[in-house]
Amino acid sequence: MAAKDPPMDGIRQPLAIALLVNCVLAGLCTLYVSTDSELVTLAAAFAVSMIVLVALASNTSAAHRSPVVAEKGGGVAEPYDEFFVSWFPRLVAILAGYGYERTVAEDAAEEALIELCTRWESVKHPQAWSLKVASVKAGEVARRARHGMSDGPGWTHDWSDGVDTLVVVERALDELRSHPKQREVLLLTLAGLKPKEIAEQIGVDPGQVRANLKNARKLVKDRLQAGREG
Amino acid sequence: MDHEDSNSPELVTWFDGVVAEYSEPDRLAMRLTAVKMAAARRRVARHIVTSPTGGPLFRHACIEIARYFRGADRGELTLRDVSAQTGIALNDARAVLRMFVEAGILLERVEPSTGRDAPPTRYYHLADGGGTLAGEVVVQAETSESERFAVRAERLGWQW
Repeated sequence: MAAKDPPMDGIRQPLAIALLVNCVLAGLCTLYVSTDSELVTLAAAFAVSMIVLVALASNTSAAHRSPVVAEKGGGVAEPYDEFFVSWFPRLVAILAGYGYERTVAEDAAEEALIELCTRWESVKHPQAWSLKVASVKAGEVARRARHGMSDGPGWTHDWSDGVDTLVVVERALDELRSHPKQREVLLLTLAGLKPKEIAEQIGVDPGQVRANLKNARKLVKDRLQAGREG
Repeated sequence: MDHEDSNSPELVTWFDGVVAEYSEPDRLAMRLTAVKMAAARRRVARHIVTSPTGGPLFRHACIEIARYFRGADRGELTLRDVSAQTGIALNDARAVLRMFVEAGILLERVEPSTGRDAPPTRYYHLADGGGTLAGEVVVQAETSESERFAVRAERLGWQW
């Protein structure tokens, strides 16, 4: 984000113009004065005007010199900070939706966002990029920790512990394991992205996204219904 | 509205619950600080690993010296100590130590010479957080090594 030059405030600008005019007139008048006292008075006015002008100019250039500091001082967060605060919780939730354990999801999301921070300026779609990296990292961590299943991430719960709503939801999401595109689109929708944005981020046709989303929702709803019934 | 046009309320509740769990402002702020510090360390480590100063031998010297310092606080060491402990030649070790001082991994203390022609003695010790940064140098060096291997393998058409 390029910081814009701070404008001179409403008082400083006319004051600077008035002082400049005063300075020029005083300088010209010193050439035509007849007495010594008039010369001293005009020279003093010229000197004072010059000092105030130099002070104003240095004040303005100092404000121009450190826009980042001024921005931080004003409490405006950096773009990466804003992105992190809004995306990290959702990224963990998406990875949890893939069936990774929370600790694995947290570590992978954090690792992906560290990597994103090192190349923030060059990544065009930070959400899709970090999701891709986090998924790979989570897969690696899960494999190392022997949490992964042979065909990808999966829930490690014992399903026999009752029909708690959360368990039913997680079981329904687990059903989508064999439909990774549908699962990805569904979770990105839950994270607040519109089909058009998802299409742009993952590089597919928006119609395809909508179709995947429709199928995923249907499958999840059917599973939730079945879970509720028994 | 058709049931296929919206997400199930249970699913939304589940997702929002996980999001809320990780949105606690203080914890999130702490995490953000940690992430940015780790990213800064990684940038420095990558800069060292990909430094155009030397070739593969210099990179090897970087890795060995970083590996030596990451494990434990070794106290104050001279250039000769580091060279003897790591097996890196004096010239390479000198360049690496200078680079590590610039990067903030090590701190340098210079003791003036006592003799007329003797040079001052330089002592090196680990800076605050220098061990972590040295560890990051090793990780980044290993990563870039495996990436280089993968690129070379791809060029040769290897499959595994």
